[in-house]
Amino acid sequence: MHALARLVTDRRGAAMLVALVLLCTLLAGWVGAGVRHEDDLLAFLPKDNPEIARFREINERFGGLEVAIVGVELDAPYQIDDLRRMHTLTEALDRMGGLDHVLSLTNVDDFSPDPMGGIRTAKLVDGLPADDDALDALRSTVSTREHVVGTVVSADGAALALYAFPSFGGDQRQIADQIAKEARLAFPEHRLHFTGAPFVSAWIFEVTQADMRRLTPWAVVAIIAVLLVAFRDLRSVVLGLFSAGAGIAVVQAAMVLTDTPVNVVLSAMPVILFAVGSAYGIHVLARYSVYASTLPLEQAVRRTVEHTGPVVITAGLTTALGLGSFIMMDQAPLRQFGLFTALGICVALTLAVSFVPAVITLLRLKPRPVGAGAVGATFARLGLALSRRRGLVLAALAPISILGVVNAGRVDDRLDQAAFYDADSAPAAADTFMRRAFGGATFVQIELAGDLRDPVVLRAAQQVGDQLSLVPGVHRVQHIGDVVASLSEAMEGQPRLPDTAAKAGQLFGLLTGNPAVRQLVDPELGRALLHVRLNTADIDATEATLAQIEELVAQQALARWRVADPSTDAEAAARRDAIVIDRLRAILRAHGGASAEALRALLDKPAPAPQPEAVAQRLARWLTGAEGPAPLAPQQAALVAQALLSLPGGHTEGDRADAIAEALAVTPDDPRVADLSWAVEVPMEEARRDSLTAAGAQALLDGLQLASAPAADSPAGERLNLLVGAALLERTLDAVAVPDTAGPGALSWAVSGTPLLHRGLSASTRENQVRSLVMALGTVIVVLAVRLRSLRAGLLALAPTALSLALVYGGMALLHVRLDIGTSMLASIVIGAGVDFAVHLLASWSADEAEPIERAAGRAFARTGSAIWTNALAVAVGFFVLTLGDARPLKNVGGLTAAAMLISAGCTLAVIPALARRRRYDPSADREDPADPPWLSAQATPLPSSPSSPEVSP
Amino acid sequence: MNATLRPLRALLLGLSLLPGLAWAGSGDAVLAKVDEALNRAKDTSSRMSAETVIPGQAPLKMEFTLETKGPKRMVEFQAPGDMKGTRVLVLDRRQMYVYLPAYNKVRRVASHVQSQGFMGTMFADADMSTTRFGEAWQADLKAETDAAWTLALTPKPGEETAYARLEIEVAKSNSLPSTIRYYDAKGTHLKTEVRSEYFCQGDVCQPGHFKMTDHTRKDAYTILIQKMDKLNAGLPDDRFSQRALQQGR
Repeated sequence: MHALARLVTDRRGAAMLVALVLLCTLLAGWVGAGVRHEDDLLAFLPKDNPEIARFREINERFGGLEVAIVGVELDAPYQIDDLRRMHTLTEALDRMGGLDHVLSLTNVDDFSPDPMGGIRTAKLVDGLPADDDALDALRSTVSTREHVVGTVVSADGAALALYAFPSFGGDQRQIADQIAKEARLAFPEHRLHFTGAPFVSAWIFEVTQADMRRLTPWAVVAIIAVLLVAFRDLRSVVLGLFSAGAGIAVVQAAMVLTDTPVNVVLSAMPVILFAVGSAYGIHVLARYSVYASTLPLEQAVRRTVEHTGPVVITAGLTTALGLGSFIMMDQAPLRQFGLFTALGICVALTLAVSFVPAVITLLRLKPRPVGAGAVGATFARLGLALSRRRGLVLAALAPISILGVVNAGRVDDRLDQAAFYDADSAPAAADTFMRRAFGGATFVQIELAGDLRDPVVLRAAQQVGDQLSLVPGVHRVQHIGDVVASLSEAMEGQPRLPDTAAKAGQLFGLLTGNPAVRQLVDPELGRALLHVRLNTADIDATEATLAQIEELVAQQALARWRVADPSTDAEAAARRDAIVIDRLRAILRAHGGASAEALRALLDKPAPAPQPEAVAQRLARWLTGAEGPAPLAPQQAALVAQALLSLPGGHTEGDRADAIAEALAVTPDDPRVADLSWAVEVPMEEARRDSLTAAGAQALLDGLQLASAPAADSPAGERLNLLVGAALLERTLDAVAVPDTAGPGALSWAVSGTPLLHRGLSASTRENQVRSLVMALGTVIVVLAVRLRSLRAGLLALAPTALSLALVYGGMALLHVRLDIGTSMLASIVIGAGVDFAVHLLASWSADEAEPIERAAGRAFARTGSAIWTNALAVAVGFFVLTLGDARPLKNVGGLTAAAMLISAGCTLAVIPALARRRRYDPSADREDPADPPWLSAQATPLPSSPSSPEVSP
Repeated sequence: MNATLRPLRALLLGLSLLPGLAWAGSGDAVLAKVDEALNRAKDTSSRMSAETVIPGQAPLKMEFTLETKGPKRMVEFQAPGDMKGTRVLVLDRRQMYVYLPAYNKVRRVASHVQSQGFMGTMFADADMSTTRFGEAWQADLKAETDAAWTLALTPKPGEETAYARLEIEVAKSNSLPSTIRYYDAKGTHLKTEVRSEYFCQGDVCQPGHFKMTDHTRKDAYTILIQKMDKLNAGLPDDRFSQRALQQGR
């Protein structure tokens, strides 16, 4: 410090230093102006946390993180105009760059039986309805599409949703902006909701940026106002702020040079630097004024640098170390925040002890008048009182401390969306809308690893999906089995999974490159993802549902398996029955539900035989349709159908040819006979099968007497019959997986999704809190012990901050403020900034051996009490301004840091006098100081009897 | 299920119109020349291989044989392995039959042309469906050089098309397209198709190499290689029947 003192007291040296600092600051400002911003909230996800790593891995594999959802709130079930608008939006987004795939009601593919035979594929909304009747018909059709209702249209039709899947590596914020713009163009009068990662990320980033743009100037103004009121010296304030401003410029330049973008957390850095960093320069100026009141300028500057410099450096260093402890965190943006803010503190600190004295020398700044004012005297009395009544103070602090510590342990460290936005924010409103209209927007994802071409594996996925759909809190489950079953329905009429690997393989072949299934199965067909949509409203309900989901998945004992035939293997038979029961329960859930027992009882009854006429009608329909190679007239078809169905089992193609020829009254060499005899075999089997399952399904539905079953002859009723029939067909399975540790089959499951991501983030935040706290405490205690030349003194300096933390965290628990990414930074910030108070107080703690300790307390309070509260107030108001914004993390950090700084100042002034038992902690502490009230001078005796007593002897 | 039928229909529509790849200079007169050149072959038999490259994803490969006669097409897949043996018969744009060997069943599929990608490729059904541009488009001669015409195509009144505008560069040497650029109503350049390596037998020319680049998907592209086996070989009509579909060649 001596060399530095010599440099800054030499006018030439001071000029060079000032010029250099100004030049560097300008250069840093110029470079720093190019700092880029990043809104990637995924950067907050630590890579080492297993749950988060799994979440990232799964979502990178399936691309589910990027979906942007647009919800349209309607006043009534959708009208033609609503469909037109949605069509316009879908088309616009389809042609917009940056999207892989767009899904809405107006571009959902659909198929239906074609009157000409076979199936007809088209859009579900195949052209806009021409009139209200057509609209009613469309609504009726839509209502029977279980994959559509609750996904792109709400059950009541009064809400629509569009899902946009960005291309790999796109600019999510830009895409979100474009989607929102197109949505507002298409639906200018409607209430729109935007959710999904791109929108939420963009919202959080934009709101934070907007808050920081709007609030930072006000925070700075508030800090300046506090400082001006306290110091009544514009030069000091300007110089202090310059130090902090230069720190910001250097930090931004460093970020540019290291290619580090400004993230959501780092955007708060200017406020912290202005609030904390400006204090150092101001403190130096204040001490200069004190010394200059009795010394010539050069000596005053020299003494300031030599005596006050180390104190300021210690204080600043503890703050920098507190922030630097963020390097122990596993979240990159927080590490960057800690490192760069610590750098800014160090710059402000360095300038405070070099640039500020140099400016004083260069400009020959006159000191502001100092002396023992009323405020200082009041603080001195307070210090005396607290020191004298230390027992009382300790007795009062003890229960408060215990209360704080006990409650601090109860801080809720669970994370959910509420950590990122308020209940009245746009994303929260979108969540509420999605939950109300579409059963929620929170997804648990379950990854299944196995050979998806194997029907056994597909059935395992479907069975787990069926079981999950019955878990309370689960709205619906979507998986690749749905898609494959639906494609299978298109091929052979039954919405069930294929029963052979060859069929599964060919259906998957048709799905090659389809972006819509990318979120469900990987291209190699080795992994599939089950999307479980939760309709839970809060974290407690979500965690309860999640626990059940995890338990259910853990119970899947098919890690290794073999295939067995249910007709010869009892365990296989039991598992096959379970597949059927689970399938039926999942299907019937939407219609009032059915117990496993009731289903079992009904399934034990003999299946009703189908009416022969029904079978014949089905076959005749195929014979008259264009799907057959030789369409017949209805009458001919009826005859041929009768003839074919009367053939005994095991008949040959020749037998069929004879029967057809006879029914058509033609010779066997008629081309129609040859074509039909080979082509009709599969349709005959399907007619028998479908009639049988339809009869069985109706009998089961009749027996169940469901609470909300649709009419059997309604489209919904027919659909239900088909689904139940397909489930009943599972009883014909001849190959079922049974657990076998030595079996050739292998399956593995992994649960992921946003609730688990939040859980992983909670764990990460908790661990970060502990790690950074330990590091901050460890490094700060070392600095304090070295500075105060005593470990005990170091611990004493740390004690007020420790109590502050207990009180702040205890308060958080009582006020139900959760520990989240933002609030996890609090402890280290408070340690860093709060310890400053104790450092300054102890540096001024001075009494002669012959004096009572109370004098040291009185002097320290007189010399620093005002500065401590000014500093605390400046930081508090700076941070408090952040609570006036919309960004939830900033509000939490702002409010809590503001409170913590005030609490920390209060604790420092209460704890230090109560615990300090030495007469001096800093050997260089001045014995006399102009700020001391005269009645505290070494010559003044006796001390006032009571701090509140007016009888203070001068 | 939105995802369910899309691949099937895309497959069928796309395949049905593959010979459309055999598309063929002042405005409408030049376009008429193109249409005539595109449709000179009576029947064709070719082997096709496709590779689609989408950033961030594994390349998709596909191989199939294609036979055409007038508007009819018969397609048989060789790869990917799961699709081997799958056959598709297209009688016209809206009437197709698919045969999946594992199901041992012919399925008739009535469908509407869509602008979606074909089997994960950058070729939309509509891109491959146009055998005669003049049916739906009217052309202005935008530019002319010694070697090529550049046509600007807009939909004829009342015609519904998948794109708002096309720009086609036509080589004067064979009156066939070398580059087709696709635009939307806002004038956004959506895709570019380059047809090259034309091979000719007599006056019938076919491109041996197609590259379709989708500029809205980070320039993802599909390359389609066509190797002609037979041209005007006189394929019989019953080659395009349900029996042939189910029973193979």
